Amino acid sequence: MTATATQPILSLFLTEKVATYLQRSPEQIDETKPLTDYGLDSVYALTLAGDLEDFLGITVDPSIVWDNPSISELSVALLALTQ
Amino acid sequence: MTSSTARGPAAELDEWIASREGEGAPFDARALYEADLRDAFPTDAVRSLDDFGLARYYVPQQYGGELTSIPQVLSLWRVIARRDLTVAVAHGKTLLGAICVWIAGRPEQAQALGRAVLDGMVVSWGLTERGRGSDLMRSTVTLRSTDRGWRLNGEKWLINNATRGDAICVLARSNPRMGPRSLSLAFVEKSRLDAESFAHLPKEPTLGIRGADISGIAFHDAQLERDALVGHEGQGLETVLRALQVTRTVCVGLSLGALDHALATAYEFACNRQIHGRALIDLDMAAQTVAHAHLARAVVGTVAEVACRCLHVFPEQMSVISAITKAFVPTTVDETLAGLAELVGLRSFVADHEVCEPLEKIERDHRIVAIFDGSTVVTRNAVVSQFPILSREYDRARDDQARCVEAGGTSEVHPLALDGLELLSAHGCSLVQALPRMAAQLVEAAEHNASLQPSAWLAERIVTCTQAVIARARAIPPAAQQVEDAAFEVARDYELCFAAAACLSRWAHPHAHGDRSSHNTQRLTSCLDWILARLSHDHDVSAEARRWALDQLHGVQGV
Repeated sequence: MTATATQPILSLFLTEKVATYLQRSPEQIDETKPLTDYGLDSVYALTLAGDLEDFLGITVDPSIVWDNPSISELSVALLALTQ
Repeated sequence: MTSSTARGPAAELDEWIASREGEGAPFDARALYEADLRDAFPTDAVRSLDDFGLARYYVPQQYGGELTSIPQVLSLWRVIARRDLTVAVAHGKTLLGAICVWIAGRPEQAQALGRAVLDGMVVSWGLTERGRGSDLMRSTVTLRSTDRGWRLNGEKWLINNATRGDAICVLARSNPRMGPRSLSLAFVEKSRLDAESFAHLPKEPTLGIRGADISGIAFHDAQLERDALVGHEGQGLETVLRALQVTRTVCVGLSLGALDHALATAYEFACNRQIHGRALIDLDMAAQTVAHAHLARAVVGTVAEVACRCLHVFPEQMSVISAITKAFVPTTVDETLAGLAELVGLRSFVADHEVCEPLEKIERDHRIVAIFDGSTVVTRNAVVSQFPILSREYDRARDDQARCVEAGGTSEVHPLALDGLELLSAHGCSLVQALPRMAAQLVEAAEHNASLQPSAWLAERIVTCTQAVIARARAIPPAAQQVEDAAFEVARDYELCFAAAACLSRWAHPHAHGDRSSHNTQRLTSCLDWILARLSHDHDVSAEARRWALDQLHGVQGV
C-alpha cells in the first residue's frame, strides 16, 4: 500500500501502529512524547520501519526511529525522505 | 574426533593442543579438572594458545590479523572447547572485547588495537551491570564529556576477564535521558588510567567455568582521552547490537566442542562397560541415547556452520539468524548433555569417576553458553519482535536462491563485511523462505533417484509444519512489552524450520553430492528425521536414522 504522504497522514499512521504495539487506544498516544517513554522496547520500535516500508513503498533505515524518538519528529523525518 | 570442520588453522590448532595433553603439559586434562575444582584460572593453557598465535584470528586482515572467515573461528573455538570450555571462554573473550572497534572504530583506532591484540593484549567487554540483567538500555555507568575528553563513572559487573584484561570496551550512558541514542562505547586501556580511578571487583564464584575470571570493574572519575570513543556519541547500543550478531553466532562453537567431548566420552564408556556380559552400547536405551546425541550434533553442527557462513553471505539478515542460532544450539546441546550424563552417571550401573567427572564438568560448564551474550529468553524475544516481518516475507515467498546455495556451500565464502550488519532484517530470513522451493527441488530430484525419496518425503512434511509455524507467528498480536509464552514456543519451532533449511541448503544441493553423495543423502535424511520429530507430535525419530547415527559413531570412532 502506498499513499501520498503528508505529515498528518504519517502521524496518524504511526500513532495507530504504536497504539497497536502497546495495546492502547490511539487517543492515549502523545505524538510529542518519545516512544521509549511508553516502554516501547528499543528493538521493537525498529520494526516500525518495516511497516513504514509497506506504507510508503520506500526503503527506510530502521535507525531513523531511534534518531527521531517521537511520532512528530519521526513523521517530519519521513516526510523529508519521501520528497 | 568426528564431524570436524577442521581445515587449515583449526586442524593445526587441534594438533598443537593434542601434542600438549601429556601429564604436566598445558592441556593435561586431569590438571585442568583439578584446577577447576580450585576455581583456578587455566593460565598455562591460555598462554599456550597465545603461543600458537590464536589472537591473529581475532583481528581482521585490514588491521594486520587473519580474521577472514567466521566459520574458521567457529572451528577454532570448537577445537578448544572439546578440551576445556573455561580455556575457550577465557581466550575467546578478546574477540568479543575488540569487535565493536572492528565494527565502528576509526581506522587508526582499529589499526592500533589490531597491533595490540596481536601483541597479546587481553580485551574484555563491559556490557552488563549489577541488578540490570540483560537490559542494556538501563546502563547506569556514565560517560561525561569534559574539556580534555571523557569522564567515566560506575560499575560493570559479571564481566569475563574484567580483572585479567588489559583493556575493556565499555557501554556507558552519555546522555541522562533514557533512549536508544543515550549510550556510547568507550575503549578503556587500564595502563592509561590513574591507578586510583578504577578498581577490580572480586571474582564471582560460578557453578560452571569455575576457573574463569568472571568479575567486574568500577570506575571513579576515570579520565579518558577524547579518542577513546568507539563510533559516534549515541551510537553505542546500535554498535553493540550489531556486534552481538557476530558473537552470538560464532560463540556456539563452544557448544559444539562441549558436545564433541561429551559424546566421545559417553560413547567410549558405553562401548567398554560390560553389563551382564554385554556391552552397554548393545542395550537399547544406551544405543538410543548416543544415537540421538549424534543426530543432535549433526543438526546443531550444520546450523552453526551455515549460520557462520550467513555472516558473510546474508549479513543484513543476521539480527534474525544470530538470535536463532544462539537460542537453538546451546539449548539443544544442554538437553543432549543431560541425556549423556544420565547414561554415564547411572549409579545402578557404574561409579566410574574417570568418566563421570568430565561429563559432570562439561554439563556444568556448558550452562553458561545459553546465558551469556544474550540468554535464550533474550534471543527468542529478538525473533518474536521480527515475527511480523518473518511471516510477511514467508508469505511473499521472498527467496534468494543464489545466496542460499552459497550459505549452504562449502566453498570459500564472500569476504567478511561487518558494515553489512543491520539492526533489523527487512527481508526476513531467506533460508526459511526458501524451504518450499528447496523441498520441491528435492521432490523433483527424487523422481529420478529413489534414494532421495525418504528425504524428499521428510522435507515436504517439514514444509507443511513450517506453514503452520508461520501461521502461529502471524497470529501473535504485536506486543511490545509483554511477550506471551506461546510466542516463545513459536520462536523455538521457527528455529527448527531454520535448522531444516540449513540442512537442505547444505546437504541437498548438487555441490554436496560429489563422490560422497549417498553419505550426504543419508545424513540429510537423518537430520530431517530428527527435526521433524521435534516439529511434529506424530513423528518419532526412525530406526533408520538411529542406525545411521550409530554406524557413524562406530565407523568414525572405531570399536
